[in-house]
Amino acid sequence: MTNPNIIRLTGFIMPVGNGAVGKTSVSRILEYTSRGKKPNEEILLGIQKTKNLEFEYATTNQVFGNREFSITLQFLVPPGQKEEDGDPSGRSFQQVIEIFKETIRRLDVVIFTYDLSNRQSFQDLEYWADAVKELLNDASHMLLLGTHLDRNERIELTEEEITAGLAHLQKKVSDFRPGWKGKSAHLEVSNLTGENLELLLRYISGSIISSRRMMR
Amino acid sequence: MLILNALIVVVSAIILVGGLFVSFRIIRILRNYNLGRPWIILSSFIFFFLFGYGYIALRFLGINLISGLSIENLMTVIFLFSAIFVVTLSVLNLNLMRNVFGSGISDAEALNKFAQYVHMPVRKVRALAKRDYAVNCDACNMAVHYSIPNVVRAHPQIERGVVVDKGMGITSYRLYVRHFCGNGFREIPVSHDHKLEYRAKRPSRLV
Repeated sequence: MTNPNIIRLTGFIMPVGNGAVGKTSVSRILEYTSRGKKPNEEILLGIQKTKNLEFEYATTNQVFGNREFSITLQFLVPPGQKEEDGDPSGRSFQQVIEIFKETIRRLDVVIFTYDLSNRQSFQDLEYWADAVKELLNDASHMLLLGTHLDRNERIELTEEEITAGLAHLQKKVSDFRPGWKGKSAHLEVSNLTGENLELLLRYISGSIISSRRMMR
Repeated sequence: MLILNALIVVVSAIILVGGLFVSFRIIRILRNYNLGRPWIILSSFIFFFLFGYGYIALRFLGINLISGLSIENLMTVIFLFSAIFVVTLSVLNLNLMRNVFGSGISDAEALNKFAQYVHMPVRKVRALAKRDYAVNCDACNMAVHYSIPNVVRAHPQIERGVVVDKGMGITSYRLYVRHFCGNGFREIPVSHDHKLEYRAKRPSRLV
């Protein structure tokens, strides 16, 4: 029996960023988190390089205000390889988008993913913002997601830089889509220890609801 | 006839031919980098010297191929071109040594050069740059001390030692810290933020 008071939603989320920053890992680990499980190294070791558009999903029940939602997070995970890299071992981001762009009807949340222990992966988000901007709509929400939070001593970015990066991202999207009214935030997580993953799940869920309300 | 003198000049000419082959090998390496021109000029000097040696050897044997050319005039010209040859070779060696061991500019000049290259006011660079940074070499595990002037001095062509990375509203400076380790030079790429604070390092590479 399904509870008629629960509002059911499916949101579309696309994580973008350089290869090996944790786009697929976050999507897969969130599925475990949504079932109340803790992530473990074994799951992470089983994750391979994305060579095409991969589909991962997680379903979570969340309460916002006095309403209960059952939200399915449909992740569309593209490769982190740039067209100009010329990597022949799989499709590049651009090739994948060229194939699937007709089927991507809307993106509720775009997750700009970078590795906190790799400064270059953060600065390269400039490239990914350009690459994904045409897929955004006026209500798409953005999340600047730093992974590998567990690498305490090897973190190469400061809070100040992350905040500046987020402001830069907002400006870039606003310049491209003057009508954009989506929200954005930054969050740092660890796929290994599970730190902040529940918060991430809740943030994405809330963003999907918010994005849908804006589109009404 | 001065047979012994002629023999010594011929041996000298053979040694010179050896030098010519070495020059050709250098040109073959450098032409890929568009740096072969000075060595082509040096090779033409060697050709000229060979001609002079041959002419003198023949004169010692009593053969005069060019009647209007006296030994005194030929020696004068050889002395002149020898001097030009030595100066050119010294300058090329100096440039090579600078590339390997760095140029001898002062800290202030090096900071000016850095500031100009990264488009940052010199005052700001002087205020932000620390006198000493340190990073551990991943090959020998020793602490490598460096400063921005050191990096600039070690790379007379500054773009080989300093790279500006811009993106997401922040600017980073990648410095290639040169360090003698084991049996050769290594370069450790280190990343500095917009305040010139050390942020990260990448695996080192042999130069």
